[in-house]
Amino acid sequence: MKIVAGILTLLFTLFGHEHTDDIKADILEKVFTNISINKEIIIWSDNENLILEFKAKANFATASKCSDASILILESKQNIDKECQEKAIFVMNYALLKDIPQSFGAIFWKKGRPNIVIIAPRAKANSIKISEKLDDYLEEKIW
Amino acid sequence: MKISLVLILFVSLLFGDEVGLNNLLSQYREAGELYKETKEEKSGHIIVFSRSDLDKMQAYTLNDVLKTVRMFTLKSTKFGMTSLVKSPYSEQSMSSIKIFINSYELTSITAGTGLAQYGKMGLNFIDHIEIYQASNTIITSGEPGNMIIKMYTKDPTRENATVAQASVDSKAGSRVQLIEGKSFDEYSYLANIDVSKNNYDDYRLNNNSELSKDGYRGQFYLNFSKKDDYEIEAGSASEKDNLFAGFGRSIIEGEMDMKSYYAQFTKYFDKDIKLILSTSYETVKLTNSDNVGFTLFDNNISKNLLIKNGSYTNSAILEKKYNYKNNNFLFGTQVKLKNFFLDGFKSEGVAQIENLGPKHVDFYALFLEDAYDINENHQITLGAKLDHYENHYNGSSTEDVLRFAYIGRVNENFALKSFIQEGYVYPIFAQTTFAPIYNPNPYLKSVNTSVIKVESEYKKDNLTLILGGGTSKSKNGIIYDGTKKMYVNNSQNSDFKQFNINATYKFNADNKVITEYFKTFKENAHFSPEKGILVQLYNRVNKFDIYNELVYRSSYTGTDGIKMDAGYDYTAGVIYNYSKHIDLKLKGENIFDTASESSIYGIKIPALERRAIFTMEYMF
Repeated sequence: MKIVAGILTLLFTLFGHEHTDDIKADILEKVFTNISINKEIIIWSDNENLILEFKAKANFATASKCSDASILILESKQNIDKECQEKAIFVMNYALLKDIPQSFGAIFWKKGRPNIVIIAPRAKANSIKISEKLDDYLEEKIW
Repeated sequence: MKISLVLILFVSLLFGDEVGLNNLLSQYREAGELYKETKEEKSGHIIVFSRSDLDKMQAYTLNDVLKTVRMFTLKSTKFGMTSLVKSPYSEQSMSSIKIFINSYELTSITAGTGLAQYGKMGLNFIDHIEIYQASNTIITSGEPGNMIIKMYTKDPTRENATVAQASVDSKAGSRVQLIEGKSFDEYSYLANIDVSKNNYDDYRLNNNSELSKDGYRGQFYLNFSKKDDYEIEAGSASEKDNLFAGFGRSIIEGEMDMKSYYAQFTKYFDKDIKLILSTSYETVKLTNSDNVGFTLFDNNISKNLLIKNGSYTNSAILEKKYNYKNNNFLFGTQVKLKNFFLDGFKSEGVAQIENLGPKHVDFYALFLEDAYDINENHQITLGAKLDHYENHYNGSSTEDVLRFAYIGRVNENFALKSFIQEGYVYPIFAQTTFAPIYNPNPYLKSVNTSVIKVESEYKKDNLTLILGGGTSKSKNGIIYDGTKKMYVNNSQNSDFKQFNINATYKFNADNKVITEYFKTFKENAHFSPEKGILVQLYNRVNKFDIYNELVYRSSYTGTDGIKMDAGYDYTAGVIYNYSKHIDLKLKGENIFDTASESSIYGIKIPALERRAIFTMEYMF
């Protein structure tokens, strides 16, 4: 199905809907709460709305430049600077896991449902320790 | 008191909203449901079946959804199909219901409405369904309809998978479905194949004629699109079924063989301009042999009938959206060329005189709508549509539709919707052009309709309460005149009133209960149930998705004078998410075999028989 934002006028809703970025940030916070890296978790994302959500929640520090961050949340491969390519990266679609070999996890849609996956060997390579609470989401390799 | 405490504890355990990752994912799924991007509050009273709802319901066919729709009853027909009958009218009333897949209308010109042919349509490629009552016919393409069923296909960017499903059922029926949705850069595609073998109980009439509606159906759908640029869709369906009772009372054998194809191209231009080009082609071949025979339109008796007919259409729609201050304009135009053909009409092997009405109807439409935002809480919509018909037979006619809508949020918890629409329903080919057992009436005029409906919505925390009611009037109604053996316009006015109440309680993103009651009022018409109740319970417990549904329809007396008992259709299903790749599903339809029935020559038949379906789904 195709939904073209430009074609649809703003749909008048009787009651407001939940904002997906808010819930997305909750999910990412839950994941990051259950991992540990060798330094403080400082988040940068190419999705500005997501950064605003993290700032509002104030559970994690955020960075305005990717170079100042320790974990990057990426929606597009083009949005990452060369200097940041070696950092721990969490991606927002499954194809990026293939495109960015050092990315260690993803939130992605499959069969109409959102999923989380964390690639254990990649996390290990990034010196990321994963809590056993995330065991259900661990995979040895990408599908 | 103790029981209450235990119940509360039980419910808390079942639906407790522990903020775990799985719960958050469910919330994310729910918040991102695609119907939230397509649902138009101003376009009518809406019933939504989200992707998650359809999944939990195990809605394999469109009929699984249609049977729950308020103010309607799904009934079996003499030809083995199903028809959605408006309460409390009879099957002959041919309700004006339009079905869309995305923006393509599925109307079958041969049968008049797509409902008969598409009831068994598989829903594997459908993401969500929106049903609009008191629907907006200004901005919906084609001829007006009183109810609009909009099916939206799955979004390939959210599928990213190849999924196969195989089902077997307790009547020895089976179904195989394969879907693939993928996206790469700006491009995406969705392809779906669905093949089913449909078996039903056989019935025996008093004269020992055996009625069967077993058959096969195959369908294919393909969608290829470039983001914000264009979309190409193509679909086809082929269905071959035994004819059930057919035209007579003593069928020996008969068959209905239907094929349909369509393609649609949508191009999105700058400045919110959209062009939709579509083409369709369908054929229907019917054979019916009968021991005693049945009367044709010319009073001859036929014991062996063969009909081959079909239709093709071409349509172009150009529309533009334009916002100016608080006005949201939509205007556009449509040209639709509809053609009917009769390739064969034989009785006892002899070609019959073709007594045909107009075979070609050209439809031209101009429409304009302005949704004016009074402020952020209130919106009024004014719309007008001018439709012109050229039938190449006995002249032309011009019809119009006018619509006013108000939707608004009165306060934090309370909202109101109301619609007033003056419109019409244009006669169909089966009434004006060709039917084997009655005369076509090419001089039929459109039915004039007016509808006023109001709906109030109360929402607090997890509870949503909807109260709706309305009245509709029709003038110049089309009824069947048995003396003249044709459809004629009825000079009497017809009034219809209805009332419904709906309560939805969401425990959390995966668990909710819906209850609904409706009642319809119409003098001198009680040919289908006038009251109905729907209860739906959607649950997820650990790795199990559970669905319970009760559809009640009140008793009624059909046009044949036979009293039909009230129907209670209890349907339930469970899905076990065995692994990331495998789902196992079990569904029981009409479990107690007490669903509302129709009388066909005195035999009482439910639209959907008691059946158990087992399905295995594998995601590659």
